[in-house]
Amino acid sequence: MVARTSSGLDAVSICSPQRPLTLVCQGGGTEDVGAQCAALGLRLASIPEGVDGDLLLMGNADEANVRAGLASPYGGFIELGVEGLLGVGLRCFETARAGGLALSLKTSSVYALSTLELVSQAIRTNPLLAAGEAADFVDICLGEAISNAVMHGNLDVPAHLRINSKGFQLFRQVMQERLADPVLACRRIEINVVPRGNGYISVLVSDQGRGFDLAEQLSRTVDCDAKRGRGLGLINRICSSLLTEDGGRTLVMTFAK
Amino acid sequence: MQFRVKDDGATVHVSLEGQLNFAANEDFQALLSQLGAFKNKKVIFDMTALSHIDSVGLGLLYIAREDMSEAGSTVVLANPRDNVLRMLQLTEAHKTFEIQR
Repeated sequence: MVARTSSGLDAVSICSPQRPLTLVCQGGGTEDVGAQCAALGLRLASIPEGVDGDLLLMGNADEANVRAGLASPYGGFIELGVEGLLGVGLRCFETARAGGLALSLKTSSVYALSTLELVSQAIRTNPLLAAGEAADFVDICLGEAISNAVMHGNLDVPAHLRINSKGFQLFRQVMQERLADPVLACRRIEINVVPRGNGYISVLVSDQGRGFDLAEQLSRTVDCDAKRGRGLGLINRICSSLLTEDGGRTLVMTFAK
Repeated sequence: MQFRVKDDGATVHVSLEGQLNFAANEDFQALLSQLGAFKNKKVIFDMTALSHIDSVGLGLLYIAREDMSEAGSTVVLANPRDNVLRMLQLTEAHKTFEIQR
């Protein structure tokens, strides 16, 4: 099914009008999802066959679906929420149009799935994105960024708890409580991997937490036996370029391939 | 993450499998509870089957080391895969742990 406006014309995307982008949803999606797609200038289909332009897979976030969405012919996977596309970042659609890989999952799904492994394998097997010898470094940074986005972004769990085994008990307890909170667990984590040309790729990890100040965090030093606080410094040492967007809710990491 | 603990007298072998990261909290707590029974041992964390470790997972190893040390035990990290070894090197883990390849 192709989403059409009430005038019967193809909807014009607010992201990029040049190339059609189709969300493929098994069963075709609900009426609400159809209306959301129409408003965003996206097409909706139930199968990928015979659809021109770029494709994103949308559905329940199980391992098989996410793996399928991160491989050809798709440019990514969008977890369908109870409110359809509500809360999904427009960046995911831009990424799919730019030939990259987009992933939008609820926090609970990121926690439950082998998210890093799924994205890492997808990057390694995508000819536009494969980072060659730098792949291990991309993995390290992506893992750190996902971990920060889940724990300190969406679940807002303070890092200072993990200083000893007693603090770790409390940390576990707070993590469990927050994962059981439906509002926090449904906040999205989005990973966008974009080819930059000239042998670079950017990996963007977004959360829906309160955001953080990159410069302030990087100015903190950590001891060599520190049990916390290493992640960002590590990312900064590895990346060719590091910055934040969206008020500190999106970490933009650029790597030489 | 999955783990298996084998007591060989003076040495305790802990095989780690999968990803030691922010999602491994509950499994790691179960591991810490098991290791709490040992005193004055050499505890070897075998990383052969560990596919990934992040700084949170590394922090958990530092916590385990601290607990083990209080019980008179020493900790060795053994057989890390290339990507895990890279993480250990980047974080200068060798300053705190004995690392066997």
